[in-house]
Amino acid sequence: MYRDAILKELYREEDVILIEMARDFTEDVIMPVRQKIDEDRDHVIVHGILEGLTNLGFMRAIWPEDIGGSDMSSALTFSAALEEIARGDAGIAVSLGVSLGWLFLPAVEVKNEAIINDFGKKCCEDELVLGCFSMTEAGGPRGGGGCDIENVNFHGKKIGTKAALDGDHWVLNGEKMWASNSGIADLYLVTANTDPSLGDEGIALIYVPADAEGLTFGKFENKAGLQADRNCPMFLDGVMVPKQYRLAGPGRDAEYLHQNLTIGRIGSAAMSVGCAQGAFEAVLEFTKERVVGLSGKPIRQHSIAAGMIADMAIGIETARSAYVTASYKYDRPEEYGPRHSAAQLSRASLAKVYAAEVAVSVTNKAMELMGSYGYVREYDVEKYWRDCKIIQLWEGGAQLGRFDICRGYYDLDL
Amino acid sequence: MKEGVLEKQLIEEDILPYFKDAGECEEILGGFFKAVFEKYGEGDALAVKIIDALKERELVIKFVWSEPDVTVTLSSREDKFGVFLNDDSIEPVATFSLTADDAHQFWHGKIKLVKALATKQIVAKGPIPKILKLLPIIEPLYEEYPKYLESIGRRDMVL
Repeated sequence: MYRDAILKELYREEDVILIEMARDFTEDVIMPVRQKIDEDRDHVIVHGILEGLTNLGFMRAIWPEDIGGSDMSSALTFSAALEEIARGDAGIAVSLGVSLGWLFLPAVEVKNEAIINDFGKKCCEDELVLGCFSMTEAGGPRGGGGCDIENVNFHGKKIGTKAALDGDHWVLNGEKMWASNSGIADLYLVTANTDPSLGDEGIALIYVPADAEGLTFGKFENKAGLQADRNCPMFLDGVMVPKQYRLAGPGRDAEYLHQNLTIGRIGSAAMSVGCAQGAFEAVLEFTKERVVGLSGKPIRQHSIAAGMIADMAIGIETARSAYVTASYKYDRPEEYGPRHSAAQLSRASLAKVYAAEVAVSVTNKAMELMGSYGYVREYDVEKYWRDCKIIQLWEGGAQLGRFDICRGYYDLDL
Repeated sequence: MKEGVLEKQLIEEDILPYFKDAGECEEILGGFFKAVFEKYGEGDALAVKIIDALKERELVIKFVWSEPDVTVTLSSREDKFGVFLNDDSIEPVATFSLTADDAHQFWHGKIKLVKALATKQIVAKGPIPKILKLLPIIEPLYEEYPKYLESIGRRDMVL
């Protein structure tokens, strides 16, 4: 492997082993079928890979030990494992990451007994339970859309999906789009609003099972890449769920929305590094053998190529350090601030913005170094190039990310 | 064709199992683990390293083999220390279920553990952190198993 060992002193022994397991899984299970994933329209291969990760115990990793889980919820471990899996396929990584980190981890942290009993136990029996965090909306003339919902300064005022309490049930009406695993998830965590005038107190995170009446879906999006990650419009028309399916309550739900943005950006940074690392390894191999020029030297022995390779390595290692630092601090809220705080979101955003730009740059350089070979499917690089771009775009993109970086240093009124 | 060669060929072609019955499986595979625990008692460096690591982590591991059906429990508990065949009285911390043939290959280091777990060729139950800590502990045994087979006069079983 063309990388330094992970900083083992930051991790527990079992975390290092889990990360190495993720690496072995990527090599042995994902890499051999990687080039078939984009054509896997029915997601047979993708489902098999996700089941494989479930069989390794990833699904039960984050749950408490008393229900059969492994109590492994460290961002440091989680992000490093996501990097490894993303080196195989970032769509697989995001499908798993969203289910564990965005959907279930909040329920574990607030000890939402309804979700733990109804879904946690299944996960702990090594059953694949896919999750979807339904946040973004279509936007349009009234504004809204991903950036507006994820902008912490808007305090949820742009969330169009409404939640109203009717007796012992929440009733949801609205539309969502773009969410990872939409249309195929077993459980959805929907970002809604009970009353925009309440600001953060009006934000509600409510779990909705896939078989809820009134829940329907549109067509799957046909994207440039990341085909293992399914996305489609979602429609909620009088969807009713038990009131216990609200995550936590007024105020706390907003904190978990912001916390999800934080961990989501850390995970995004890790996945970006995984894509960049994969492209980098492909380039190192290719440029070792292929000779150019009158001297007949391998590509990478030419100074211009060496400079480009060095720049790629600088970007990858720096981006990795950024997400590891953000993860380390995320795991220590008592020292570095609550996970939903502006400071934590700033660090996570810094890591994501930088790493995503690195991934785009590295995959571009990789294609340049490989020429036309970099452009054809069988040489792997073009898939990294297509897959990594969306990571730069999602969760508010590089621009909202920059706002959130600034918010860690001063009040930014944007 | 020499006697035994056809048999070996049939085993390699997955037509005959490695172990002719539960007794042979207990004797060979079960015997391997008993030998490790015996060496621990004699102060063998590798055995001490492995068993001490199990004790430190309070691990009780149960292998559930099928075709033939045999269970082997390795217990590092002070009150019940050692190797126990077909004994359900000891509560394991981690359980690994696989066929006896796969176990034979596994202890030769011929099966990639992660892929085997992912495809359910091996099914592991128990807390992941403790199971994960087990993996680097048991790896040195992949070299010991073929040596053990030779030592008991079963070179024919070496893969």
